[in-house]
Amino acid sequence: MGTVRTQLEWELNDPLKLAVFLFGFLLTGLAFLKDALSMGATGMLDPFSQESAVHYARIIPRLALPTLSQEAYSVLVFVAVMLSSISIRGEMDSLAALTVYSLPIRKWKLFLVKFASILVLTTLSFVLPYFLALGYVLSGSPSLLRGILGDGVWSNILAFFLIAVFYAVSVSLSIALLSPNSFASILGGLALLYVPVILGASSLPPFNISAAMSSYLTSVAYGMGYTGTTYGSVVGVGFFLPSALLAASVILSERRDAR
Amino acid sequence: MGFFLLAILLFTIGSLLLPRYHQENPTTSGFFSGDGSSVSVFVPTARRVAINVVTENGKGYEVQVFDSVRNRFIANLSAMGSIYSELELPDSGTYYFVYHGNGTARIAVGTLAMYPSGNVLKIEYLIGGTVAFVLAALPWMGVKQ
Repeated sequence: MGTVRTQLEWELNDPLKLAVFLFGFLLTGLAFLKDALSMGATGMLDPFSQESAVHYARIIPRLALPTLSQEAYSVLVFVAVMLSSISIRGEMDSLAALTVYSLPIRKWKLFLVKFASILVLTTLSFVLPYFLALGYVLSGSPSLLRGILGDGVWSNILAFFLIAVFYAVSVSLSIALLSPNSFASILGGLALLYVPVILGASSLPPFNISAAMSSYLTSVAYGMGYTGTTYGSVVGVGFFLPSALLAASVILSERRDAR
Repeated sequence: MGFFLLAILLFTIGSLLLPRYHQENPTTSGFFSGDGSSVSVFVPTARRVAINVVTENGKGYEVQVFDSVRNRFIANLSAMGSIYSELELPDSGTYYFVYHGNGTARIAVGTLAMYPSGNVLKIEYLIGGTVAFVLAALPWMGVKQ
């Protein structure tokens, strides 16, 4: 267990990966900040009363919460692809893998350590800026911020973002594992993850995730109790496909060599 | 750890700079169906807005502006005919424009300028300053990276 932990620390302390993390954190933050600054929602209340005005003021703005925007997804794709290419293929190209693979760890464990470190870095660089941007923009009215993100809204947003991160990371990792060198890995990963954006495919990330997020936010803003159905459209490509790819990659990682 | 703090510091600087370069001037509009009806507008930042109210009734009427987060009325516009008025919305929140008068009216709320409020700036300076201080102290404490 000690070796696995040392390996995880070593993976997480690579300056190259941390530079990619920094880049992703900043750009995702700016994208979400822009989305948060352009929030807006209009409503009508007739007849007006102060109590209902105060009540709706904390619920209706949920409609305006930023979802997974295309800009943020582009940065997420870049970060996931760069991290997995550096971690899997870049290591072999720079011959550092010769040292790493002589360690007394099974290869699939090594692969899972790499997967965990990439997942942690990508999640931190993607999820944290969202809440930080929202917190900064709305920090003048803390009660509003609490009202908007309360009632489990923040955890559902987190779940949608984790689905997006899991998808991007496992697809880019399996591409990195299959490709013959770093260049092919970067190009293939970017192409595969970015094709749905160019085609406008509404059943693939990012559009199905942002659509599910906005339908979830609409139902929660208008007080619908049951919101589980909104996950139905994202579970297939958001959870099942990445898990299958991850399992295939774990099996495949046993068969690969240090060169 | 250092990279993480650096990311937060740079993000804070970005959040201070971004509103200056990213200006949007959205306009929302609504419809007053009668006495006591209201239109609400949610804004994420403090801003200066131009309010236009047009109506066909010739009698006097009032439009009250209610800040629902801080639970108080911030302005009271009364006129005969149509209103053009500029107003400052002090911070993020939902603002209600309440119509008191006969007949129907239409309202348009356009943003003239948006900027972070004093409270927001205070929090950003506080977090940015703390992170910068800790970041400066890290090499002195002998923590790597």
